[in-house]
Amino acid sequence: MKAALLQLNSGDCPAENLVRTTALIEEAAASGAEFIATPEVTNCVSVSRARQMEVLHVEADDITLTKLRDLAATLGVNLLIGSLALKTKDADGGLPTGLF
Amino acid sequence: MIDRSGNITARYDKIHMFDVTLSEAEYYQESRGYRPGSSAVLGRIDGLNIGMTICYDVRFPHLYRALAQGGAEVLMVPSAFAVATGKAHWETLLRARAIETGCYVLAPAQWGAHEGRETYGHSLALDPWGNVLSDFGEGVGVSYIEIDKNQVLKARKRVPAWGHNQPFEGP
Repeated sequence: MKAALLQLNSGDCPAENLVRTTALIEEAAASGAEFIATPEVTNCVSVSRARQMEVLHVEADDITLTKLRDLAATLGVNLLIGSLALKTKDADGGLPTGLF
Repeated sequence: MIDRSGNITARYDKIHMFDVTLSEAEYYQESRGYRPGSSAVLGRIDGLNIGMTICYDVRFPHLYRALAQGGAEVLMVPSAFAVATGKAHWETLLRARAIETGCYVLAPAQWGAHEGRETYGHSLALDPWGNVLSDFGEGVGVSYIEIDKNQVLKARKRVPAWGHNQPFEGP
């Protein structure tokens, strides 16, 4: 099986990161990769709790997860998202770091 | 893990939080912002068992041994590794996990300057014997490797230490 590893330079804007991540996944699929893996915190690298609370979402509303699921189906590839920073529904909005 | 139809087939929450002080200027308290998971997770794609871990988990070999003994043939270590620890420990830790378990180890990584921190890059792929298959170095892009399940069997046949647990009393 041909596998692809993405190396990213994610910033603190999930929408901008998603554009760049999508382009590299499409490149990897076009090169024949059947299994494509992305790094930790693919959607947002930020050390600011305030910024995280501003731009992150709960799993059901996360644009990165939604888009990459669609992309996997469109390209017919297996994806491993190295992790997504997501809010929980807990009162303090605690952030899990989930691997999908 | 997302399959070819877009279904989420496995999910894992990072167990070990990166709470370290590398210097007076560089320290991390991941547990203040993130909730740790408590379960080891195996995913499966196209006949391969995939052990799911994240970054700082790589320093806890018992997790990888448990995944290998649970059936993992490929171990994932997606990361955003700090530069100081990356230079000192990254390749050694990942190679050790591959050698100990007889698994492929795939570690896609963040690289470069981010808001408030810097990461090491060097996305790494190792075969089950511990050979480096690819090291992306610095920059942004994609590296490719071939996964051959027979290489897992071959490495484990030569050195089956991953299955040689012996009970012992504590010190």
